[in-house]
Amino acid sequence: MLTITFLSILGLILLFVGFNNNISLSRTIAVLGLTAALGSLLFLDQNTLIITGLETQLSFDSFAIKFSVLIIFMSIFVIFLTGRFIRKEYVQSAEFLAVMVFSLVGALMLTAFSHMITLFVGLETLGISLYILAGTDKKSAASNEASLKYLLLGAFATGIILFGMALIYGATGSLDFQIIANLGQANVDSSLFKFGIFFILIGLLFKISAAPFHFWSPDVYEGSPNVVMLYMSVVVKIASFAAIYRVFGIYFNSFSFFWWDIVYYACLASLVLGNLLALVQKTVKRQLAFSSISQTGYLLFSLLAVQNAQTVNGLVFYLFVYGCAILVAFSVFTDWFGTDPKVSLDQLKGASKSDQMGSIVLTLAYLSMAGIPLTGGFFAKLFMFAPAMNSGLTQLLIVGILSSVVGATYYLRPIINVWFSTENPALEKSTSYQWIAFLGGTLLLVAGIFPDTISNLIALI
Amino acid sequence: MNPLYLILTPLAAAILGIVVGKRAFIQQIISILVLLGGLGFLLMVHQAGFENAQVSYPWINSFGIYFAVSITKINFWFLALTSLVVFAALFYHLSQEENKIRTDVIALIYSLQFFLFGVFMAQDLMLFYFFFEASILPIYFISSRYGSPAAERATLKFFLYTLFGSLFMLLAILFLYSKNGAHDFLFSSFGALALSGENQGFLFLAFFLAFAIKMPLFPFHSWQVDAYAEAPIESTILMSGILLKMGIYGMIAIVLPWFPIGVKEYGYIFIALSAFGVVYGALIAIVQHDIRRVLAYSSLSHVGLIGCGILAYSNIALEGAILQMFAHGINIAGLFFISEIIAKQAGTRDLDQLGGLTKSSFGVTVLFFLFLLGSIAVPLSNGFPGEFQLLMGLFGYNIYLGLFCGLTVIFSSVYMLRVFQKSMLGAPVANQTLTGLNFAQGLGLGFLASLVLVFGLFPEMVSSVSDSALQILLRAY
Repeated sequence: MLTITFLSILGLILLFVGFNNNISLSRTIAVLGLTAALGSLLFLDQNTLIITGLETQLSFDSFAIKFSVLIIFMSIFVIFLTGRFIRKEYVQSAEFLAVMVFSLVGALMLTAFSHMITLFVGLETLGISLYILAGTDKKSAASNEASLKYLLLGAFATGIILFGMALIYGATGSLDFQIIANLGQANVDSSLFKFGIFFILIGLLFKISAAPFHFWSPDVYEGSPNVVMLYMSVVVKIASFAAIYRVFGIYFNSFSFFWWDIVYYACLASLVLGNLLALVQKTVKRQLAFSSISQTGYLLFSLLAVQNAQTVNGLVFYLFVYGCAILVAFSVFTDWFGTDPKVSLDQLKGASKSDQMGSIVLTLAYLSMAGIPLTGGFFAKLFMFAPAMNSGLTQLLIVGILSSVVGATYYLRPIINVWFSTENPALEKSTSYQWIAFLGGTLLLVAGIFPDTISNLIALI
Repeated sequence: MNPLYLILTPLAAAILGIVVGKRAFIQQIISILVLLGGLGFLLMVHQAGFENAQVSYPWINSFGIYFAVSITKINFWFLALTSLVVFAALFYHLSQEENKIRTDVIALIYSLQFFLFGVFMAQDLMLFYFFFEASILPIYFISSRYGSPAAERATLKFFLYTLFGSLFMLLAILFLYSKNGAHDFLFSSFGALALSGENQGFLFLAFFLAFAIKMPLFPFHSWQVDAYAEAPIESTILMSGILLKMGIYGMIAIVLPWFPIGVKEYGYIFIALSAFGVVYGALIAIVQHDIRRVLAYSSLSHVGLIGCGILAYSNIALEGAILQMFAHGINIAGLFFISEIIAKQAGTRDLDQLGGLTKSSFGVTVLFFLFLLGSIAVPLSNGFPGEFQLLMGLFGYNIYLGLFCGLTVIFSSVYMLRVFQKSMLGAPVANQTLTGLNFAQGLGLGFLASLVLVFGLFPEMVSSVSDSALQILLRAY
């Protein structure tokens, strides 16, 4: 709770600092503040600074800390990358950064809730901030459309979740996840309860953009400014996944009889639809959006497998590696194309001629997303597949493997365009974010060659 | 005899190669040193009786994955062949003019050598898989970047096809892991598993698919010819000479000892298919016009015979498979090397437009003919003992199968001699001469060609190392 309070204050400070309209100052404060928040998560006791009334509704256990650390770690780099967008599009730096930090408060709540109220407040804090962020490119119709679309559909999904909560309250008389979890299957075997779980699940599947509830995500991802899409596909994805895992993997795990089948088919659908639709995309962002849907499919393996500490660590590892890969890709794209929101795959052709190092790390990032050895993505997939195999999900794994091959087909396309084309494109060739790309690329290699260093760290937190 | 020295040498050479850059002479020295160092090290391990030739370090604790490598009697010749073929590919690259030398190609070839050593030496199945997959990357980048415009598509097909196969192997590995009470991926613990016949059946199919695509055996070969024909010659040498041996190694070291019931149950289907591939490849090779395509189809035919021999599960055929894989690696690498020299100097790879080249270069003619004899499996060449033993084993398995595969003896002389006749003999074509081999090419090819003779005269050298291990391997059956 300490960190949540701290982040809220940081957001307020950023709003005030924004009065002098000094972008670098705001960004410095945001980065320093987030670093401090990261430190507080790792080293300080989260049970200090309790907000009265919320004592039993947020529990910062090791699961929550792991995901929170990952969220803050990734968002620090996202904030570094915002600079170019803020300068170019004349967005008020204060509101942009402050909204981002406020959304982190919601994200952290999603990792630590133990009560339906905190789950709902977390979802809304994160969601409403995102509706704003998606529309920050005010002059762009696409950005406005993305924002509105996200608002309408997101609010609808939240409504469904809320409905589910009401049903569960009706069935059990409690909103506290821990109490409901302790009821046992025999006590809750009512259709009210089943429908409650069903609605909450549907709403959360929408939030993680699992098929067939994925229709919003490609449009929203494509319309939003690049850095916001990066934020959504990394930080928001981690937070939403923490939420769905916390509800179903931890609290409602004993009721898996009610939800397992739905998750299973959502997982299958995400793998198949995400990968097949990604094949035909023409722009970088849309391709990544559909690939993000298929990655959701792989991540859902962790919910379907038998739950243990290894599954959680594997999930965090996967999200870390995937986040690094996306981060690398976006920092390279920002270096090459600035804030251009519609970079097509063809524009990448021959890019290695002007920026070899950038091309190498970009290649690493895409190979990692495809799950090829030497990059972290291979072990990330392995850590998802192995528990699923131990739980006997062979058919699902076969689908997963076939869709990995399809995945490799489109993940290789940017690589092919970058390296094997004779064209000579005009890139901006700025190198301002190269260090982020390098850092991410190094992390991907470390995760791909010495995965134990990363997973030991995760297990330690 | 710490095997880490051997496996890490290519990595050191890769870094050294990047530092040295385009200075061809120094690069040549380095590659000779890597070759001689590797072969010398193997010899020392052999002299020491394979004692202490294994190391094992924990790699990924949470899953019980070890970095366990060792030099055994089974992988000995695979490792030697890796050194030789990599040397051939590198030496071709380094024998060009200095402005055509690419540092990234050199580094990628050395890193490929590292991965291949890893595949052959791994004693942990996940480590094996890691290297098996990673070895696609260097070849993919060399082929797509420096191949003809059609190479990009062909190599993409190769990449996806092999990925498809190996992912099924990954699934099978995870299945084995879930059956393994020791929760590790070590070869030794998988070898000791008692698997039911049904499990062995589909495990065999999953592993076989990965290896058969890699080799490739009929009907999984459709990526092969385009990839060989369109890629730059360095990667063609590597793909045909050593990459496909990963499949052969996997069959011998993993499929045969672990899934004997699976082999018994489904093996005959694939023997029949590969046998068909043996004759099919040979017949198509006869009508090709492009030298490289002839060699590619000949490779399909030769490897098909090796695949039949392994699946036939007889001692003599298995010995023959090891002999033949070693011979095939040397011969095909040499033949592709020479075909590229001819193509570069005469300006075409088309057999119809070549002719009478014997008159302009004696060296090329002699070396070409030597490799060709090895490939036809003429007695006293290195191809003969292996092919003979393979056919013996197949006759023992099924007489009609033996007869059918025996056709390859006739066909291979037809297509190989046709290549020689059309390109080297006959009336010279106007303005078409060979300038001959430069020193580096002569050295590299001469060394390989001498091996054709040495191993033709003393095939015992190969079989004396691997035989005892193969017998142990077959005893499980």
